[in-house]
Amino acid sequence: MIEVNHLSKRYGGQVAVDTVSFRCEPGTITGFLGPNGAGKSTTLRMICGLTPPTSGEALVCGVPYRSMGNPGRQVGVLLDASAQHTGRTGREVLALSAQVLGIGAARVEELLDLVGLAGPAARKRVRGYSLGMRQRLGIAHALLGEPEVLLLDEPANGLDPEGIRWMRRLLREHAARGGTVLLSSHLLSEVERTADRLVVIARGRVVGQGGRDELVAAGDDLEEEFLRLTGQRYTLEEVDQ
Amino acid sequence: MSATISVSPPRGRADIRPSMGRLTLVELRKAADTRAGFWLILTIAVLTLAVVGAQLAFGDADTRTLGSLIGNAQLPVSVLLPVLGLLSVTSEWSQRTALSTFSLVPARSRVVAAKVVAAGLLAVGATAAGLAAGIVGFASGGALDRTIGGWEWDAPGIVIAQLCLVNWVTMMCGTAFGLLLLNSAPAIATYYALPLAWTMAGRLLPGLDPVSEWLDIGRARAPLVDPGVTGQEWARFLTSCLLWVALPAALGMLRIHRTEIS
Repeated sequence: MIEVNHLSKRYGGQVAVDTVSFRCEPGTITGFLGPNGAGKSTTLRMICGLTPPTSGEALVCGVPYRSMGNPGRQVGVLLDASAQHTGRTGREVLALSAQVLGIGAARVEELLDLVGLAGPAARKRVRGYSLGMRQRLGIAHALLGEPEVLLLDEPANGLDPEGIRWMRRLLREHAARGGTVLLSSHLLSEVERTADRLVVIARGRVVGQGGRDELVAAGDDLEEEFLRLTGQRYTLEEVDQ
Repeated sequence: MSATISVSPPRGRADIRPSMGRLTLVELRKAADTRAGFWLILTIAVLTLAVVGAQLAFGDADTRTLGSLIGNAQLPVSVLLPVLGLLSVTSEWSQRTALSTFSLVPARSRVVAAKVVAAGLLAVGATAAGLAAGIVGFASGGALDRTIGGWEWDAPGIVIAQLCLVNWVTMMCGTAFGLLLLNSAPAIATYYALPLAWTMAGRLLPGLDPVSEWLDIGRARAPLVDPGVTGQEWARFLTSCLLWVALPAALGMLRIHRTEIS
């Protein structure tokens, strides 16, 4: 479970995130949706204790993230697939984190296999990985500690259509077992097909949230509603980029 | 991709934080598991052997003694090893691994502490390796009749301890500059240039000389290669360490504690 209460972040005079509140319940997938620069990543970093909030608080599994002793066993985090040492092999990246988490090497092999990076790809350095491969490695990294909560920032970036479908199924199964999933995206079409609930953010503020079906007024199309909420009805290309 | 998805069902579990020993082992592993780290360690090892070999082959007679060989074998370690400590901090930022490092261990000071302990262990290990290189070099030089003097050495225990201390402090100095600047290239440049600039300023400006004696770490550590370091020399060494190690480390810790990781 994730609880975000009146979270705000100001940089000088600029408000990046403005009193954002939402909850992610066990057994659900929440899509965190908004155009680029809306404050999604800043919010996710505040939830993980990497960015100190100006005000408000975020609780994961009932406690602030930074008060957890071994958070990787409860929360799987993927904030940026490109944020890995390019000189390490994919296997080494996972093995290092497995050592921190106190889990065995067998789990690393299991995950390499799960995300399709077993064999030669595991021995390759991350420098030689495509964005799609980095994304798969990042997902494997998030799953290492068998966490209850998954927190993923733009996980579909760089994945091919087959990879997107695979990830969608993985997240659905995780939620079906009672896990909590929060994933951000600027792509409505992606979130629409994966998430049960949506939190729409624009210019740092939550402009709409609820069940996927509730959000859409009778007869309206979700895309229209998203563009209306984010005030981007006329800049469709920007949202789709 | 395998068709079956083997993510075990979510469940409550003990929230036991990783021990300092485990975090230190992870940091030691991270120091050597990248190309940059591996090549740096290999370069130091090769240079150490080269220094010993060159000294035996071409050195003046008075440098081919046991003490001189052992002392000079530490040169590559004391010059290059601190970069390894520095990079162990800055690469977290330049390679952006800080995101996952601090997501897994939110107590940032524990990660920094593990890096400092790992750097210290590397310094001690490298000193021992340099010592071994000097001894092996002296033995093989003796077999080739290139060495001067015998195995007797003035107060070896205290000198070895002092060599070890100097290497440790130098390593801590590099690590502290990494903590302060969090960026590889500026940190390396500053680490080498700033103490040197200070030394030159001390020589050029006569008025600065008495201050420089206390605050120039290069000068202050020089007496430690020999036995019989005086109380005042120890005090100067300690003072310069406060300026070049403790101060940047403290400022860096403060910065890491407060900074946004992104």
